[in-house]
Amino acid sequence: MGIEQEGTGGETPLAALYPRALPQVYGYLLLRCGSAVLAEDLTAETFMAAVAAAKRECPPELTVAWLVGVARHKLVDHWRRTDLERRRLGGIVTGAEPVDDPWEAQLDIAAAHAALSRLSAHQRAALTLRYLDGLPVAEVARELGRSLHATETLLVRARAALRRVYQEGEGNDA
Amino acid sequence: MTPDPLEALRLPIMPVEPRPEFTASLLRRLRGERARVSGRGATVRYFVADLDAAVAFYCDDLGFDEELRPSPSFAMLYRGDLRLLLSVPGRAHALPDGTLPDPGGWNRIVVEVPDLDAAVEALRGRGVRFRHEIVTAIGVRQALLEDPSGNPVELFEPLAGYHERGLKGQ
Amino acid sequence: MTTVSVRYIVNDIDAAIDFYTAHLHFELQMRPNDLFAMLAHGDLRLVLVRPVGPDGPAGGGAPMPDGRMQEPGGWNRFSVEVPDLAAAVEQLRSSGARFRNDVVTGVGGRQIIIEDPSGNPVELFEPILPEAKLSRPAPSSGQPDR
Repeated sequence: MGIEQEGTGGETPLAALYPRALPQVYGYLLLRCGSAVLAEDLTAETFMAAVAAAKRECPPELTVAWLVGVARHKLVDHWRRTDLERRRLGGIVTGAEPVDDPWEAQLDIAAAHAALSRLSAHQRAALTLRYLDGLPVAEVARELGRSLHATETLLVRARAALRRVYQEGEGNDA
Repeated sequence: MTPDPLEALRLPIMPVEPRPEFTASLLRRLRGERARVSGRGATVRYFVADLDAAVAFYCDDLGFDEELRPSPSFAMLYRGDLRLLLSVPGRAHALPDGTLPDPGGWNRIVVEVPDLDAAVEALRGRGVRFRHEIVTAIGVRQALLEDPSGNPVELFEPLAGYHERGLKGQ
Repeated sequence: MTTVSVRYIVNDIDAAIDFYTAHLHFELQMRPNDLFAMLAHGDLRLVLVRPVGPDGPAGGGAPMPDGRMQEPGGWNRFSVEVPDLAAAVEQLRSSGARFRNDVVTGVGGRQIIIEDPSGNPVELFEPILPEAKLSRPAPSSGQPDR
C-alpha cells in the first residue's frame, strides 16, 4: 500500500483515502494543538507513518480511525519532547496548587483550552485523551504507557491543575 | 452522580482543509516515499549558477512544482515522475582535486508537451534561449532550449508512429 | 506518460549499451542502428544518441544551426539509487569502471559519480534511512546539501 501516480490506473488504498482522511487528521490535530504549522508537521508525519506501516509484514487496516490514532500518538510525543524546553521557558505552570473548587456550570471552552496548553505534557495529554477525545480511561492508560491506577491518579491531579490555571486565567481577563 | 463539567470539552473529529499547497506537497512526498521504495520515478541533477532564476524558470516557464528549497544552494522540483535537483556548485560537489562542476553540456531532460508550437512560441515570447528550433525527427518534433544557466532542456511532441520508431530497423 | 526521459550523447552506441546494461542494470528497449538506442531502468528512459555531422539524419544527435556539434560529458546527470553503495562501488571498480570522484556523504545520503565509456556522469546514491527524512530540513547550517 502506498500512493500511485495519477493516470496509472488502480489507486492504492492510501491514495483513495487521502482526500477524505487528510482534512480529518489535520482537523484533529489543529483543534488540539492550536498551531497550523505544528498541525501540518504532525499530519505529514502521520501519513508518512502510514506508508511505512504498509510495508510491514502484517500491515494494519488503513482507516481514518487508524490514522487519527497515529496522529494522537504523534501529538502526545510532541508534547513530551517539547515539555522540557517549555518548562525552561516558563510556558508551563508548575507548582500550581491544586484546587478543589467545583467547576461552574458553564465551562468557558476557550479559556479551558488556553489553560490546557499551560499544563505539563503528561497532564495535557491525559486530559486531551480523556475529555477532548472521549477515550475510556483504560485506553488513555495504554496510550500513555501507564497503569490504569497511575492514569487515574494523573487525571485527578491534571483536573485539579487545570482548575487552578483556568481560575487564574479568569482573574486575568477582568 | 453530578455530570463532569469537563465533558463539555468533548471535541469530535471535525475535518479542516489544510492549505492547498500543503495538501499537494504532502501527496508528492508520499508518492516520492513510495517511489523511493519501489524504484518509481527518476531523479536528475542540474548545476545552476543562480538558484532563484533557475527555480523561477522551471516552475513558471516549464510547469515544474517546487518541493523543497532548504538552502540557497539547493532546490528540489517535480514534474510528474521527474524529480529535478538543482544545485549551485560548491564544496559539497567538488572533486578531490578541487574542481567544481559547471552548468551546461549536452545531456538533458526530455520533456513532453502536448503542443510544441504553442510551447515554443510562448517560451520565445518570454525570452527563453533556444539552441535549436523545432525539427522533425522520426516519430517526434522536438526543440532544444536552455535554462538561465545554460543547461539544455529538450521539448518534444510525439507524432503518429512515435511508439513504433526503431522497431523497423531492429 | 509516466516515464521520465533523459538523453545522453555518446561516442559509441554499443559500448554505451554494454555499460548501462551490464553495470547499471538497464534494459535495452531498442537499437535500430548505431546512432540511437533506448534503455529503461524503472521509470527512467535513457535515450542514447551519437552525434552526427550536418549531413546526418535530423534528430537528437544533429548539430546546431550555428554548426556546434553535440558532445558527451558535462556535470548534469541522472541518479540511480543503490541499496548498498560500498558494495556496488567495489564491484564496479573491479570490473574496470571509472569514477569521477570518491564517495561523498551529505544530508540525504552517500553518493559517487561513475562515468560511462564516453565520459558522461551518472550519480549512484544510497539514501539515508527514511526516518531521518521525516523532519523538516534544518536551516542552513553550512552542511553540504544533497
